[in-house]
Amino acid sequence: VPLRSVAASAFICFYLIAATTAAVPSPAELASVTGERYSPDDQVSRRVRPTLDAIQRYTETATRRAWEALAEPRRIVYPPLTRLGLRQRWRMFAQPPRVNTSMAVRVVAQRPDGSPATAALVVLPQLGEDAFKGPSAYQAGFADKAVSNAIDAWSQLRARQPSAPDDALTRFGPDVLASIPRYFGARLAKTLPADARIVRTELWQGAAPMPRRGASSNGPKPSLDQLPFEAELGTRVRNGPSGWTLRRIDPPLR
Amino acid sequence: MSRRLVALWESFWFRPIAPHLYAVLRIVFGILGLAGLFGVADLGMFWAYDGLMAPPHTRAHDIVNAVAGANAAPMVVLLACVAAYVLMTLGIATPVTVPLAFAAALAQMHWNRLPLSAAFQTHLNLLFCLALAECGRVWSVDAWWRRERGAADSRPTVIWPLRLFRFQVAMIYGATGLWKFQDVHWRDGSALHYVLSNTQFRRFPYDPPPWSSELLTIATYTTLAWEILFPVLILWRPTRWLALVLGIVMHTTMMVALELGPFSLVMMASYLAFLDPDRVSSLVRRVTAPWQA
Repeated sequence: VPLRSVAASAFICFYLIAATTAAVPSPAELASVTGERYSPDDQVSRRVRPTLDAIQRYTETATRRAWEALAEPRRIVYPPLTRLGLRQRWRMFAQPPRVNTSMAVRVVAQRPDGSPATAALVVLPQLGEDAFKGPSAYQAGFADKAVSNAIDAWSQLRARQPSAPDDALTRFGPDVLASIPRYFGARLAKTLPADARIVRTELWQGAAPMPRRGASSNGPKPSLDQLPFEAELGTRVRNGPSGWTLRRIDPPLR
Repeated sequence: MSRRLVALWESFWFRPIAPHLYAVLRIVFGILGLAGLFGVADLGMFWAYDGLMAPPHTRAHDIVNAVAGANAAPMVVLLACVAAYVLMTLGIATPVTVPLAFAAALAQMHWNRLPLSAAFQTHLNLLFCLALAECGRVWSVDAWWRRERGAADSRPTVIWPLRLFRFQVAMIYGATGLWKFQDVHWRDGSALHYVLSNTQFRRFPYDPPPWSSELLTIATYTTLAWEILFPVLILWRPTRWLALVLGIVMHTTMMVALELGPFSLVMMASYLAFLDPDRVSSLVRRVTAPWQA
């Protein structure tokens, strides 16, 4: 057997083992996807779900055992795979959210005569909730992903370590949420009168449960203009290092 | 016995194949890389330090800043990524530029991971498999240049990078299927209802109507079964076609109903790897014969 084939064979074996090992979820990750039911059964799921639930108990046990058994190979294969960026976490829509999230950035400024000047912008979804997303929405999708990744990473950090500093490291980098008010705040500042002095930049998060399966919806939602920013609708979640605040609002913005 | 096993291993992983399928994958994945970059083409938003990105924190930032300066660095990284994919697509210095495209994608990931989704990760993993193959023997500037010098080289190449590519595609479906199976909303058939209600992704601004409930439940179960069974279905030719045709239907439907960037295109493009490389080559010869005569 040529030496080249031996080397290639060794690499093939390594890759197969590494990819398979890295694809097995940890017990903590598994626990994060096993949520509670949100919708009642319909006629189809009433027949199928009990069987799938019964099988799931076995697959969960098997996955936990596989995780334990692969502890040693994982220690070897993780570093090179991570360095090469070859993650094997294929969780696309594995746990579809039951809540729609929207975000807005608002800049509050003051003019020399003391009168206030404000400007606000919906930043998630960039095109608004009621927009048809044609081919031109392609690039806006990437901006939406950036904003949603930032808020997800920040929320997970807060859930995991409630006392972690605001600029703690996430898998997307440190102080991951700060870029949203900074970037959109700078854009909004250009729309304010030239003599206005920015007092603060706020980041607002809207959240509303999706309609359950079989329920009717598509009711009216408040637009940005209708939102009473000054009212105590939301809960202040965080004071940012650059003077911005994150507030929750409900329901989401149009 | 052991000799027989070695022979089986050899024929499975090192069988010579015609190089055309690798060329097709190189071109298609080069174009898809450019399509991904088009999505993040806004320099100020996705590449500049005051854009939608975490503060500089990786070695990629340090290196590029040191070489190009902090002001020019975002533009340098973006242009380097574009150049790598263009060179890969055209097949210029292919043995270097395909690994270079992989390195560029890696640099993009280290530069700003925030706007990147599963589409990027899939593309990156498949690009890694392509970087291991000889993708420039045909349909490349390299091949044209060699032909001009009278040194054309369309010798067969080895199959193992293609097999790893197929394995990676199967792994993606199998793993995502098993992840989904753990979630109660996939098991109770309501998952697609919530996916289509998601205002971030849905293309049409309407929630699924109540009358579509059972239809979506069936679609949820079909998706789940197809993803979990995909690695098995592709092992046998008749079921492989079923898996791939079903995949095209699924991804086309997703593309129509949801804005997911290039994800559906990347997945459907990966199906090209399941074609028989020698059949692709003979088809190409038949089609191009009139021009070559």
